[in-house]
Amino acid sequence: MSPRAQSPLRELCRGVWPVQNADTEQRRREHIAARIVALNGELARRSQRRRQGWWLAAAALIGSACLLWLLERGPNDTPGAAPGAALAGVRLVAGEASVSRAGVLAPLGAGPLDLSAGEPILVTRADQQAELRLSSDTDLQLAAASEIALERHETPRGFEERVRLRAGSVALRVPKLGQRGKLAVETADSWVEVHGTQFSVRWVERAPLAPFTEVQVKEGKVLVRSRDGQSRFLGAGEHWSSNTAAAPPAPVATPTAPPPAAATKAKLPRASARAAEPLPALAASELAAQNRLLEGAELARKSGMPALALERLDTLLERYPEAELAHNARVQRFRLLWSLERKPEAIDAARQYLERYPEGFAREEAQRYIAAGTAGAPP
Amino acid sequence: MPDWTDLELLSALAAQDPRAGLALYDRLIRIVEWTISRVVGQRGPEHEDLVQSAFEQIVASLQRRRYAHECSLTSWASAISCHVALNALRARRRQRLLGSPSLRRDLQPAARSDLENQLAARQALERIRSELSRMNHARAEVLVLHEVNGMDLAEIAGVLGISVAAAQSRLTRGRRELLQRLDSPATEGGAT
Repeated sequence: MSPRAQSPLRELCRGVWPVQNADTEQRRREHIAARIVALNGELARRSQRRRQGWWLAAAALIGSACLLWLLERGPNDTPGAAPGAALAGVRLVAGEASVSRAGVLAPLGAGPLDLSAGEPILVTRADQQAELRLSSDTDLQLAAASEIALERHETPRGFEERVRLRAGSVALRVPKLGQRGKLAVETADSWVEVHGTQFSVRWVERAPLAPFTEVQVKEGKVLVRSRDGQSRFLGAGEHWSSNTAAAPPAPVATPTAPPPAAATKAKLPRASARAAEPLPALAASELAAQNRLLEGAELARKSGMPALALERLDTLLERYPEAELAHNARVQRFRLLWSLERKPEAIDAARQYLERYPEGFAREEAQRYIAAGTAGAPP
Repeated sequence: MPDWTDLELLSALAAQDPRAGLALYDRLIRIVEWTISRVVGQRGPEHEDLVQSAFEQIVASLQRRRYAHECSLTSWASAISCHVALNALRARRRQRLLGSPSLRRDLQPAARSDLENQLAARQALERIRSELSRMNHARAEVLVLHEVNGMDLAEIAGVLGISVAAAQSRLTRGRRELLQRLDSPATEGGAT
C-alpha cells in the first residue's frame, strides 16, 4: 500500500467527534429502538403474507392442474368411479342387437356388456338396428345386417377402443378424447383412427368383387390407414374407399344402409374376368381368411341373414375354389339357397356339388335336395 | 437490558420480543455511528437520518435472513453502515452537481474557517470523501472497511459474502483507483 494513499484514508479515522448530550442520545435511542421494533414486526407480517401468498398460489396451481387433469380424463375415468364402469365397454341405448360369445348367440340386454371378458361380437339382423354407447361416450349406430367385434385396452395414458367391422356399416359420433384415449374402427383392409368426429365406416361385400371399406366423415377428421401402409386424413364431408375403382366421387351420402347386392351385381365385371385379376393380399394367412369367411357366413345364417351368409360363401368359393373349406361352403350354399326359396339354384348347386365331390360327405343330402326339387317335396 | 449473545439477540428479534429493539441499538450504535461519521464526515442534519437508515437496513437484512453468521453481528453491521454511508456520499455529490446551496457551502470552507492548516486538512478530507463517492462502490466499500474500520480480509470476505481472494483483489484495485484519483486534478464531479 502506498503511504500516499493510505495516509489520507487513515485521516478519516482521526478527529474528535462531538458527543451528544444524554437527553438527546436517550431520545434517539428510544426513537430508533421503537423504529426497529415496528419495522421488525411490519417486515415479519409482510413476510408471512408473502409466504401465505406463495402457498395459496401453489395450492391454486396444483388445484388447476388437478382440474385440468380431471377434465382431460373425462367423467368416465374419474378415480372415484367404479372399476366396472370404466370396463363396462358397451351399452345398448336403443334398437335391437345380439351378442355372440364363443359361437352362442343371445339378445343384447339393456345392461352394460363387459368387454374385459373376451371380445364379444355384436350382430344385427336384416330387420334390426341398434344404437350403442361405448364407455368412451362414443355413440355407435349399427346398421341392419351388420356385425362388429368390440375390444378395449387400458393403456398407461388412458384407453384404446377398437371396433372391428366384419359386415355391414357403423356410424359413430365420438366426443373429444384428448390425450387420454384412442378409438379406431378396423376392417379387414383398413384402419380408421378417430380424432373427435362423426363418421361412418362400411364394409362392402359385393361378390365377385373383393370386399372393401368405405369411410364417410361428417364432422372433424379421421386418419385412415390402409393395409398397404398408406394413410390419409379425411376431413368433414370427405369420402374414402379402400377399393379405389369402387369409390364414388365425393361427397356422397352417408352409407347408413348397404345397397342391395343384386342391384350392384349387374354392373360388376364377370366372375371369369375378375378371376384373372390378381386378388388383393390378405393380412392373415389364407387358411385364416377362409375360416373367417366360413365362420362369418355361419354367424350371418344364425343371425337370420341368409343373404349375407350366401354372399360370404360366394366370396369364399370365388377366391378359394379349390380350398379344403370350399367343400363345406358348397354344402352350406345349396342349403341356404333352398332356405331362400331359390330352389332351382339350390338344385343346380347340389348337382355341381355331386359333380365335384361324388364321394363327398353330403352326397346323400345333395341327392335328396335334387330329388325333392324334382318332386316338389321337402328334402 | 438482557445480556444476550448475537444468536439470542437475533432469536429475540425473530420472536418479536419488545426488548430486542433497545438491545440491538445498544449492541450496534457505536460501530454504526463510527462508520457513518468517518465516511460521511461532519455530523450534520443528515447524520441522524443515516444512523436510522442503517438500522432499518440491518433489520430488513436480518428479516431476509441475509446474515449468514460467518462474522460477528457488529462486523456485519459495520459493512451495512459503510454501504449506507457511501450511498449518502454519492447522493451528496449528485446534489452538489445540481447546485444545492446548503451543500455548496461545504465546498467553501474558507468562509467558515480562519486557520489555513485547518482549512487544508479539511479540504483534504473532503477530497478523499469526494473521490470515494466516485469510486467503484464495491472497491470503496472494501477499502473503507479495511482502512477505516480496521477489518481484516477474512472478516470482510465473511461480511460481504465473497471469497478472501476477491476481497484482496477489490482492496488492491480500490487503493490503486483512489491513488490515481487523488493524483489527478480535482474536478467537480465530471471525472469518474
